Order: sequence, then structure tokens, then C-alpha cells
Amino acid sequence: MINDQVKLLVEKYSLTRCARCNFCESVCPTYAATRRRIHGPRGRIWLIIYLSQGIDVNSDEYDGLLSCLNCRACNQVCPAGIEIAEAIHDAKALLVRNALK
Amino acid sequence: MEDWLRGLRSIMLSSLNYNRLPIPVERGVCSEWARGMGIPESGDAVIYTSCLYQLVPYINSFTGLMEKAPPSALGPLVNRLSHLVASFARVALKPPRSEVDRVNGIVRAIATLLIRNGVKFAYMPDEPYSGALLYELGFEDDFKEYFSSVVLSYFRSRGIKNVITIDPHTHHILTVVAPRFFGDLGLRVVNYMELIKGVDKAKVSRVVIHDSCLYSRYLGMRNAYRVLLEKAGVEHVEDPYVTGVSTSMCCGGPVESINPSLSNKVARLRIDALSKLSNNVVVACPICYANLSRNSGGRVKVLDLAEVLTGAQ
Repeated sequence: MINDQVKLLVEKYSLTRCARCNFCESVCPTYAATRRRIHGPRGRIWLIIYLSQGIDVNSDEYDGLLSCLNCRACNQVCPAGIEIAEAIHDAKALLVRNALK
Repeated sequence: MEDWLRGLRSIMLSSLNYNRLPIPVERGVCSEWARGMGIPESGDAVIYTSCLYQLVPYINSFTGLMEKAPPSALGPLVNRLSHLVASFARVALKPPRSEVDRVNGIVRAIATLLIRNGVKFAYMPDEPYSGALLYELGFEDDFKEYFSSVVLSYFRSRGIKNVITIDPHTHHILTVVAPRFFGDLGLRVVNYMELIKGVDKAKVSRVVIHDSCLYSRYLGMRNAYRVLLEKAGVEHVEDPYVTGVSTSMCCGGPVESINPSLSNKVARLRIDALSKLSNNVVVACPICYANLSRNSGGRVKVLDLAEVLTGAQ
């Protein structure tokens, strides 16, 4: 069921427009701190897309999504105009709701 | 992490039920700043601190405890014993008096600026926390329930129509997030910076601004504090990358309760970048103030905007 809800998010924010250009990683504070893709906007976006396809997420990847600061720097530089911070916030809320069930 | 999330949620909800604050401390800490200022407890407009500045020393103590036992290790225990942990925290969270005095001084400085500018306002000794942390961590259902049953009903039952916010998190909740869920709140919300027209000359002459992500990229208010600093004769050093609207980095504060080591690492990188421009870092957000001052390592002096504008620092 969570996959269906995540699918809606992927559509709502047109996440598949991500061209993996990495502009977002250049301004992401958590990516700068760890240099791990899962701590950057690109990794988080694709994690949401994988979730929508029913692919399992491990705890490390799950933590990566939850550790987004929602600072919105990524939104400012995304050439595809994806509202990345909003998509990650909504995905976080879904995952948290699911985890607390 | 799931255990930690459950435990964290349980601590926050039991604390909000107990004292309408997100961490288990006594309510008196919220109104100490107003002592001796002669501010009335009722009036047409109210200052809504949401107790955020006042909680900074307790948040720092809480984060210090968490660093010793990170969420991944502590999660299952906190999840099972959240009520005991909340009671323990109430006793254990004893920050240094100097830190408590400093944050009370910041709220007093904001109130002083308003008074000097002829703004009439009251304060609310029993004001509830806005619920921002619930929303920001993704506990949206809890946020909606808490905001509607506690915050909104508090304002409505007292007939409050005009609210002055003093931090970006509360301002964002009242002007953007809550209206999205509940429609028109029936409140006229202004930020204190919008009411400050005149300021005296400041003691510091050159600073670098650490922008709050909310003020800068969510609320479109990044010029408000720049203009005020200029009026006070303070030069703010700008750099296209370090202080640019698209590229200025966050303080790391929003994940301090989820991943404290990552939060601290982000803050230290931010301090590294800012320290190259000036040793005086000005912030306008209590969470930025908490995270940057905790991680400054004595390399920079972290000052709140209100402290600079009143000449307190």
C-alpha cells in the first residue's frame, strides 16, 4: 500500500524528470558532510522512485531519507524544476506514518 | 531508527500533553524573560515566542546526551521506556545558568526593540509550543491533531487576532503550514523584524550573516535582517557561494534529534565556511543559534540579530 502512495508522490512531483545531473548534490549540506549519495537529493529522489516500484529499502537508505534537512537549496539549482525538498518531506511523512503503524 | 522514531514521538507527545512543550522541562522557563519588563498579559497583539529560544539550552543538553548514546543504540530502550526517559530528562536536563540567561536576553532584546519602536503588545505566560518539530520530523498526523486541539483552540479561546512571531519556524507554521491544513486561521501574523523601523548604531561593525533556510528560501525574508543591520551601521560580508540564496548551507539543526553526529558535522562545515568571512556570525533563528554556537569551537562568535540591534553584543 505504501508503494501506491509513493507512486502518487512520484507523479505529483514528476520525480522521473531527474536527469541525474548532480547540481543538487553541489549545494546539499548533508551530502557535503558525508559524500554519500543517499545523503544527497539525487539519491533521495531515486530512493523514492525505487520505493514506488516496490523495491525494498534498507535501514541505511531509510536513515538517508530521514536525514534530509529540508533546507530547499536543491530546489533552487534543479534545472528540471523539481520541488525536491517538498517531495522528500512528503515521502518522510509517509514512511514515518508507515513505521508507526 | 524506527524504534528511535517511536520513542522520540512518544517523548514529544507525552511532553506536549504534560506542559505543551516538545521536550520535558518545566513551563516556567518560557516566561522567565518577561520578568521585570512590565509587559501586560493581555492586549490586542501578542508576542508568540513558542518558547523556542528559551528551550535552546535544554535542546543543547538533550543533544549532548544523545551524542553519548546515539539513536541507533538507544532507540529500542527509549521506545520501551519513553515515559521513564521523559521523567528522567525533566531532572537531568540542567543547562548552565549562563546559557539560560543568554537566550532569555535574546527574547528580552526582541521585546525591547519592539517597545523602542512603539509597538504595543502583550505576552502569554502559558503559550503553547507551535508544534513545528512534529511537522518537520514528518509526524504530520500528530502535528494536525496537536495544532488544532491545542494551539488553534488556545488562540481562539482567548480571542487573539494579532500575533507577533520571533522565529522562522513558528512563522512558517502559522503563515504557511497550518493554513494549508486548516484554511484561514483568523490570525494576522507578523514577524517582529517587519515592525522594527529604527535601530541604534550597533557595537559590532562587520559580520557575516548565516541565513535561516526558512527565512531565506521559504518565507522570502532574507533582506529583512540585512536592511536592519545596514540601518544599525553593520557591514555584512557577502560571498556568492557562502551567503548566496541558492548555495548558502543549512546549520544542520533540523536533524539534531534524528542524527546528531551528522547534524554536528554539517554545523562544523558551516562554521568553517563562515569563519573565512568574519569572526562575528549573525543568526536570526534559535535552531541556527543552538547548532552553530554548540559547534563553533571558539572560532567564531555566534550572535543573534536582536543582540546586535540592541547593542547587547
